[in-house]
Amino acid sequence: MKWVIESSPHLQSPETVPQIMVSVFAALVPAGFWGVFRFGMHSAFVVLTSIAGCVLLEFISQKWVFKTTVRIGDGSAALTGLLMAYCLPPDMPLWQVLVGCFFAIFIAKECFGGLGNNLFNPALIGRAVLLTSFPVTMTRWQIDGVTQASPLGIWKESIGASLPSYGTLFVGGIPGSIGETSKLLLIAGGLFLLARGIISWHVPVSTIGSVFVLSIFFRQDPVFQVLSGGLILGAVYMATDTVTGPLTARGKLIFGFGCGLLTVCIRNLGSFPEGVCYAILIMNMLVPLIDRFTRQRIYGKKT
Amino acid sequence: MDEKIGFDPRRPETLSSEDILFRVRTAGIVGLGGAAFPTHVKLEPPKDRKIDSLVLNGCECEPYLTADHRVMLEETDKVLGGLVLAMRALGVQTGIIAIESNKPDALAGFAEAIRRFPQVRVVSVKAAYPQGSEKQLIKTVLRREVPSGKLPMDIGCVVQNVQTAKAIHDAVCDGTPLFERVLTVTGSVKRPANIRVRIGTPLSDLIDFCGGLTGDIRKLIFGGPMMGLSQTALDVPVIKGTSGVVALSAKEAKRIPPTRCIRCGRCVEACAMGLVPMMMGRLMERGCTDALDEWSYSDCMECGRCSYECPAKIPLLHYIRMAKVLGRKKQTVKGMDSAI
Repeated sequence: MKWVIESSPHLQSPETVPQIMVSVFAALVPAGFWGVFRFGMHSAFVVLTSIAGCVLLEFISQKWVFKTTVRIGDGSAALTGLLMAYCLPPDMPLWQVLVGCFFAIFIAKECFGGLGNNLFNPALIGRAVLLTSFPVTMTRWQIDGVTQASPLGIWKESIGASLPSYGTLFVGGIPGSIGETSKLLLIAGGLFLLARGIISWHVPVSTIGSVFVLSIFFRQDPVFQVLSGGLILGAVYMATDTVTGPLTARGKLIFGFGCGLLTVCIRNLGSFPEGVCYAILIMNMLVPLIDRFTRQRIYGKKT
Repeated sequence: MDEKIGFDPRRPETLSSEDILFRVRTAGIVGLGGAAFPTHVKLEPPKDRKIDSLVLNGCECEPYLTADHRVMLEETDKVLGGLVLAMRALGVQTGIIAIESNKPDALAGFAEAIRRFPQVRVVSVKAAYPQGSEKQLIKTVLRREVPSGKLPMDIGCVVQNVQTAKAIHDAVCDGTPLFERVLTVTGSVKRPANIRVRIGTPLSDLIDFCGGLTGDIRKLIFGGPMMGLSQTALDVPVIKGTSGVVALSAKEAKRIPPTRCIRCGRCVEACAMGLVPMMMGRLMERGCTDALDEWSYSDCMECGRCSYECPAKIPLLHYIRMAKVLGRKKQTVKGMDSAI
């Protein structure tokens, strides 16, 4: 008889990293279908190009550039592709999407050491680079070929057009990025992840809560501020990225508050109508610092 | 083999602290929760330590094991008797029996049995591994923390396992030395059971008694699945600290190969000591052993929850154990340097 000798513990929880990625992916899919339904087939091609581009670039960089183990099976590159496509406009040229994939996967992720070592959220780096490189296509929102101003654009530029109702904002009957419009489906997906224990409530609640409260200080309609733009998508799916977020519950609350504060500041004081992307990226930079100051107290040790 | 040490069958109420300690010592009693720390040492703290409470640990030390639960149900009075004797030996006035809330029968049994002893009370605690750990139990029951590197007696309390209490009772009242214990045989065996066995019984006899192994066994463990030691052969004897034998099938003991850490924080949440296992894992993976010191790896009690919870299946506890070994080596080298 021959048995295996291994150090304890002898049991492992069934949950694995690919399963986590698949769950997040699944939670996001309904909002994407809504986007394709609203904005037309081209947005589906944007999403598929983004996913394929990210996975392919991850494969190339792992196989031939850094010569490490190819780990595209963990699903993280596909998820990055999906998330990046969700914050792109529906009629984005596909070659520009691929430029975004390059910066998201190669620069922001693999150059930093791959999954687990990246400082910034790759999808948001992709979007940030595209926004500065192609400002025209990145801010052109169309439905059925007709270009319209996004709700935040109307609000920012004080165009005469009236703002959509809360109901329209919530269901997603507005122009916007492919995956950000339907708050209903995004929140439903978020609740699914919360129930599965994949995200915790801390980051979404503190991000959305601080945007709500701080908008009041800027004399803005807090409900409109929360329901428009990419706030829900960012707070529930991007700020909760574990790799680029803090470790402890206290750290997550601080991180979320920072995201909310910066979003409100950029929206009200900056020249961009939307600030969620930059807010999260700036807070990503502060994560090592937050982790350092929010360490748990060790049992039996004085602080 | 069954002869007993020749004690006077005196009434325990009249025994002095010294009598009790003498009997506990000569009966060879050690902590039966698994650590096998000599009980008479625990019951005889240095004079400058003032002990005020004795906590009886009725929390199962690990998942899969149910031996302590069985002993609490079947030997309620002897366990309680042992607790009272230990309290007398220590001279403490408060005895607390801590039982996990998922054992209502044991809770009810002790609630009934303690009526004669106003100085003893029963506390129901949350059933969550590692609740049976001494330090965690003290925090739950007494709201005190054992300072890092100190013992429970330094903060005025002593913890004893329920089987140890029963052994104290048997030694003092009947003069029985510690030659048997109750342990759990479970997992992939034909008839899983809690059995009373002699110390020294070979593992093969236990397996035979339980009807033999079933199916495809990958691992055979002495102790529980979280902290136990895996065995290679069946002729290993039961020792005083053996709390169970678990046979794990290939399916249960399957190891998923490790992937990259995604900083999900589950290990941080799981750690009952408030450590950051992922940080120690990362430093060990990269060989940054100098940076380990600020992460207090020596406070780890090796419960294994970090490794269990990790979705990337990184052997975090194994890395922490390696860190401890490295730390000891470093200290030895330092000591040798100063000696020269």
